[in-house]
Amino acid sequence: MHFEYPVQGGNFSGAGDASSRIKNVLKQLGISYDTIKRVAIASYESEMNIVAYATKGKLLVDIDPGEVNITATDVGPGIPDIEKALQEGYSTATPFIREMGFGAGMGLANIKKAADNMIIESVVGEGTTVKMKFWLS
Amino acid sequence: MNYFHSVRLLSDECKGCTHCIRTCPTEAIRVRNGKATIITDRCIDCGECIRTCPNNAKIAVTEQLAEINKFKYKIAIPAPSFVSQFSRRYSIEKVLSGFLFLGFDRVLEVGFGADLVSKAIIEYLKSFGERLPHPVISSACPAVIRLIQVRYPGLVGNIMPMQSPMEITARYVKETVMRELGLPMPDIGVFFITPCPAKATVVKEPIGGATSYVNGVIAVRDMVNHIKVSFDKIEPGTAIRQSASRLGLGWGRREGEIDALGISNRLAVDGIHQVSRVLEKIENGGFQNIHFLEAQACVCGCVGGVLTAENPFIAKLKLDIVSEESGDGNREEFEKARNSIPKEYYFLPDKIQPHPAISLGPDVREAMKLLQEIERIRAELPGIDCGSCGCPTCRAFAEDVVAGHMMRMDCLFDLRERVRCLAGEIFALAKKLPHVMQDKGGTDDT
Repeated sequence: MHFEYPVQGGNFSGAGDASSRIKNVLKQLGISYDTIKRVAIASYESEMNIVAYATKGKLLVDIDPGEVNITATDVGPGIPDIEKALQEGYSTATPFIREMGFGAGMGLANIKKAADNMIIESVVGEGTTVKMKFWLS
Repeated sequence: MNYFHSVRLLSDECKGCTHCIRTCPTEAIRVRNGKATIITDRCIDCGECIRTCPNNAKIAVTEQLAEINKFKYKIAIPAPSFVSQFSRRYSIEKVLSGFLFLGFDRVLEVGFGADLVSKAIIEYLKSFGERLPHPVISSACPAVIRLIQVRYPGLVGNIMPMQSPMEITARYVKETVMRELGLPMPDIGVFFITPCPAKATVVKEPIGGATSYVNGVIAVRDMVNHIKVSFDKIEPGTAIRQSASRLGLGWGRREGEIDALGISNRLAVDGIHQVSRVLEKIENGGFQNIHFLEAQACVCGCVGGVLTAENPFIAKLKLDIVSEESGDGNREEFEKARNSIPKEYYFLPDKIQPHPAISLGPDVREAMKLLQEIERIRAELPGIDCGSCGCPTCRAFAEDVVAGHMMRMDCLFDLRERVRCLAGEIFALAKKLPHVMQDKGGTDDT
């Protein structure tokens, strides 16, 4: 089954709504807590990336009996150096984003740790798509 | 599951308004046939519905004072928040003497147990240190524990496996009386003076495989009335001495527990809806730099409990003043208790289990089918969460339709649309004339 949740860039007060909804869906489906936790961390971090860096974006969720796939796609500045962006502690966050409590440079690293598989596609000046896969045990 | 709940509905008083369904933090209430009903698997006994009901139709079941007479030896253990309900002319000693005047044989403040538990928590945090999940969540508020079990089951492992100050106080005083007076346990009745319904529930439904040493609970506001009424007759007992320290008393208000622990990287959150938001964030991997979370269902902490009499903010102020003036409590008794209580008393016997109440079924495929149906219906609904159907949200309505508890036409908007269609059809039919009648040339819009 497929769900779509729009995420607005710059909207820090509404940030986390999409991941909360995804989490609730998984809880209703009776998915294991361990998997829910991993999905929650990854979807929240990717939602925050859209809020902090992009103009707009959405989280696409596909659930099959065997796996959960989440795609976070945005219209935004893109990532010039993905290798670097994956390094823990590396961040291009502006002072404003840091002021909001984000931009510690752990986002993509945390997503990578939480997901069973992660693919990042990005075009500078256009946007970024992060695909995350979670196997259901 | 036959779970005891202290929060109940007085059906005769309920007008079927929808105030409570909106404030319930676990969406546990529906209005059916003009009356509110509580979904027991979801209710966490926080008492938000009692607070919000304009018709006083929601109550918490607690014991009346006369209940104490079922026991030969009667012990009162008032919550730390209890003293916050009195004005300054009531000294703690006089308030405590009031219990003896009213028929109790002994009184020991739960603030004293809080002093003991604080010490045990400090040792626990020290000895487990980095092996503990972040953040460790306090086990003091039973409504919060139940909220986690029901809505955030993945976080049960974060709850500290500690007994509450109420239980430690009850067990300590009961065993002391058994030893000193040689009384058998069934002769001794321990009554907790409670600021909240969740405590009344946890005594009957203990958490983590524990057995409660509390025999009954009496609401703070009832006890305050009893004491105030007979205040002039109460002799300030010479035998009564305050046992709780400044820090133990502080447990009755927001930040009291973390103050008593004196640890860094701690956070206190109060009010059940704010607690939910914080738990939501913890599930998302947030608050990792917080080591200890004090979470209390009531605004201002226990002084804001549903079963108190005073305004929460005033009560908190009073408790602040009283605790400021209190010293270290009864150190002698404290040392005695520290030495006599075995370490294992402080810990819950079993792990706290999750009680997820929103899962659609054990089979993922089956649950997915139901969820698809829920989503399909939800998309067709107006999405304004008006509550006229008796469900808190349109989404909850969709869930109830799929579960077979509601029908689509129970949505007023749906009903109205159908009536409109039907009216159109009737109108169209009315315009059709039998061939035997002559058209008199009336206009369509008459």
